[in-house]
Amino acid sequence: MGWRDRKRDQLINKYRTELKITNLPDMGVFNVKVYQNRSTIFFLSATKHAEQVQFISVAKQQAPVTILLDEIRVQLIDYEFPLRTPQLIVYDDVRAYTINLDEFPLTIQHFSFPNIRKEQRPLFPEVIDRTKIHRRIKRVTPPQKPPITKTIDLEERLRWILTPPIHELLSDPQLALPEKPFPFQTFGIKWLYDRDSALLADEMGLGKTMQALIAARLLWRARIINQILVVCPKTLIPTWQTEIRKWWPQVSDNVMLVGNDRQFFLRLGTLNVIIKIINYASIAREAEFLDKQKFSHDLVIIDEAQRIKNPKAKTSKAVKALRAIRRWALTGTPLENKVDDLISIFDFIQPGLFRDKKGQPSPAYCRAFLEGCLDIRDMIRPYMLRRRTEEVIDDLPEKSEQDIEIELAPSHYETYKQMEEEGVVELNAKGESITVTHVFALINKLRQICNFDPVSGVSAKLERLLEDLEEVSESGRKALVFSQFVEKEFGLKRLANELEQKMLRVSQFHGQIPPNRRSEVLRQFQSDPDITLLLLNYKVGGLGLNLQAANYVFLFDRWWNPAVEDQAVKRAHRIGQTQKVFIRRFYCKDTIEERILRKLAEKRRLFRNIIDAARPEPDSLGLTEEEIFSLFNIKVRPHKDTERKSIPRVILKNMDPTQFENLVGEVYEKQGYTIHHCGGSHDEGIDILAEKISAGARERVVIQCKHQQSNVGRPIAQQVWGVVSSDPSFTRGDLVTSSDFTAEAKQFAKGKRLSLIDGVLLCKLVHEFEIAHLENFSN
Amino acid sequence: MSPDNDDVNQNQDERENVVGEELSDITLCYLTCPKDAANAFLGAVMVTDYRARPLYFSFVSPIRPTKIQRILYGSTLEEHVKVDVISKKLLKDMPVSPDVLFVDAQDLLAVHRITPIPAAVLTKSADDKDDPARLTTLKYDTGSNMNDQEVIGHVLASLESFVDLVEPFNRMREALKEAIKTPDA
Repeated sequence: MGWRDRKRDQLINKYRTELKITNLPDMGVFNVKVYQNRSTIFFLSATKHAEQVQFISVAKQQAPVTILLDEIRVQLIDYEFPLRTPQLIVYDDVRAYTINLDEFPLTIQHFSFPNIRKEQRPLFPEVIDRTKIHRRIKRVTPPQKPPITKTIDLEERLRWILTPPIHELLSDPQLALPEKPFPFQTFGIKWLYDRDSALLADEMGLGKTMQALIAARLLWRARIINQILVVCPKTLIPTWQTEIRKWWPQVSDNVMLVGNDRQFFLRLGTLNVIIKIINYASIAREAEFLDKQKFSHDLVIIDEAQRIKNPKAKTSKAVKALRAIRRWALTGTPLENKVDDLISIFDFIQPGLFRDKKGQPSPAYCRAFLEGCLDIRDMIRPYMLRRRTEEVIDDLPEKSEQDIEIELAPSHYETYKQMEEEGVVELNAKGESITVTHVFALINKLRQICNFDPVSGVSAKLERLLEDLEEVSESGRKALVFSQFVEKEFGLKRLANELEQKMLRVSQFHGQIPPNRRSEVLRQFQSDPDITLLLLNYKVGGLGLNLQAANYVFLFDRWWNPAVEDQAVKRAHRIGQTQKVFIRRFYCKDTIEERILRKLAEKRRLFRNIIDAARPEPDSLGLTEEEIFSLFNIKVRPHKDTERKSIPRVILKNMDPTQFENLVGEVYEKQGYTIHHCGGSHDEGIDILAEKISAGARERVVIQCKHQQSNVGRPIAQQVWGVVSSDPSFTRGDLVTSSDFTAEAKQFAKGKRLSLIDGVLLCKLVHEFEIAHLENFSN
Repeated sequence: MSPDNDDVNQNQDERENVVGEELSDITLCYLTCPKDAANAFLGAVMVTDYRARPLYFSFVSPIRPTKIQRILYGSTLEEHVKVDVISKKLLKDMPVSPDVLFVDAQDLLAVHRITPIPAAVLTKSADDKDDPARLTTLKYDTGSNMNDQEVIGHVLASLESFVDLVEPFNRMREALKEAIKTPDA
């Protein structure tokens, strides 16, 4: 026996000894292809679960043999127990290899999640399944995942994935929701729940407050947030309180309203206070305080977010100074007038998307703009959810709308006519000094007279209202009456007085009702069967209120803007309304009211014909200055300076280059452009890009600002022209300076799409567009 | 407080306990060992509260048996890796002891060998979908371990009406996908 054989036997014997092979089962099918061209011996050994051992040497018949492992077919079948730590031993002439077959490299990662917060349960919650009432609510698919804008660790991602589906969360008996949300609301709740930055822009009446509240509640229950700050108009504080009582009653005692010490309120982070509510006016007063603070809120919800549409307003600055991990904005009208409104809201919910902290355009925005591929809709899509009523709900009860023509009594009409004629004479007497404000004053006066005759006290509208209220009374329903006037001579107070004299119980809701009483007024109206009439003014009562108890809406007088009237109507015609809603809009025949109505109707018709019918009407579809003048037979118009007045040029000299550039930007904004400061020392001939759509075409203007004492020469003009001519999408280039241009520069610009605006012209433009806040530069 | 009132309150408390606290104390454990596209073994365990909300989640890195291991373990490989390697590790390291263990595949029922937690394969019942008289939408199988049937049956009967007990497996698989694509996983 050679050393090789000895070695093999030694190894086998070693294992034989160690493994104590007993009772080798007769099992296993081996299909082994053996090659004899190499002297390698192959053994199998295995330990069974119950310490029994199986040992197989495939080479026991003949040795030495070579086994090509690829072609071994080993089947160990019919085992009662699985193999444990089997080993493969391969050895050749000089080396022996032991391969532990149970070496499965294994690493484990653990994640723990907090237990859900328990809330006190109502004993017998009665859940109303509103889908049974509204059978034609449309179904929805789950929302898309939120955009990932920051690095989220694995634990956070897993928590997001492992959270049960929203319908499971909402069906928790501990949640005890009084009504089952509609599918589109469930969608909205999930959509908000998943997002740190969100603009919920559902049309009014679809339950934005409720969706935000439930989503916040689910986050709180999952211990993701501890405290919520709600910022809303003062008039909506009672609505929030009511909604909290309804959708999150357990937290009613943990709600805090802003008090005198606003800074204490804003800083307060105690766990006992789960919801803090502050109004816009209060937060605006703390703009400077907030700017210096570093405390952060878990979740800030701003309701009626269009309040921050003006980036320069103190309210906007204060709200944007709030630090928060999650930022949700709610509004039914995210875009009131121009795209900048929306951008301003996004400066709050997703800072940096459009503008950086200094208010300059973000790099992505600038890039998209310069490449001419800026599509704001694409940028905001991941963060904004807007559903229109007809998209999600088929079965809001029918709405019957009528314009009710009221004929004034002869004596009443005589008073009216006299007042109008005298008014027009007065306006004409003002000559060229007449302004639109003067016309407004007359319009308001005449509209008041349409409500009540100041001489006899009669009111044809009131008579008609009383007739209609009999119908309301007979049907056992309730009614809302809207007017823009509150005063006791012509407005809601007068109306209340008259109605009470007819033994009707009415409630009033307007700016003169103390805020702390408003919620009680609404509660009473909704629940007290004896109070069948609620008088509201458009300004206070037109927003955010849920008044489904009423299904008659009377517009006692008319608002300038149809969108405002629609808002008022939707207080009653909204989800939860089960009855047909009757809307009656009063106007007096042959009066200013009829004229306004006709003008507005014509505008609406034109808009619908010209603009894509699917698009919503702009909320600012009111009357222009020219249209207001045309309501009367006024022979004169405001004096327009043909020779432009100006501001002193010294104002420009006192500015630094940035202030100068900002001023130029404002001049273009006033002309209806959306401007984008391109800033920096490497602006390559562009300081500002201005864009607007005019006559259906997009106008893009490159603006270079030169704030200097010496005249601007030809090289600068050439540089700007180079930019303009390099890109056909640029309409023209404007070179603006605080000084003047050299003759060479002026010669160069001739015949080109290049405008030169010197300091004199700029000062005139600043004056013409009434750009304020220049007083700091006048010395 | 009158004795009558006391009785009412006591009864109420008892009812609360029966329908509320007892249920809300139940913890469920879900175990899954799927394979990825490259045929590697994956494994994850999730402990949830009675509403299937996650309390704990762990997963193991993918196991890719070597060719030799595949050859030598033959048909026993799957069970060995899933039960003796992956499940054992996952269940051993769990910080809590759940009341029941649900698995999504028949071969995982072999966990009976390695854990005393009552275990069952839980699937949606595919039969009699339109049968209005059908009381349950779930099918469960405790395998040869008859002792577990009572506990599992009780838990299912208590929870099935207000929580989808099979759905958490979907979340776990989704989470596993997310976890293993992460470099540090």
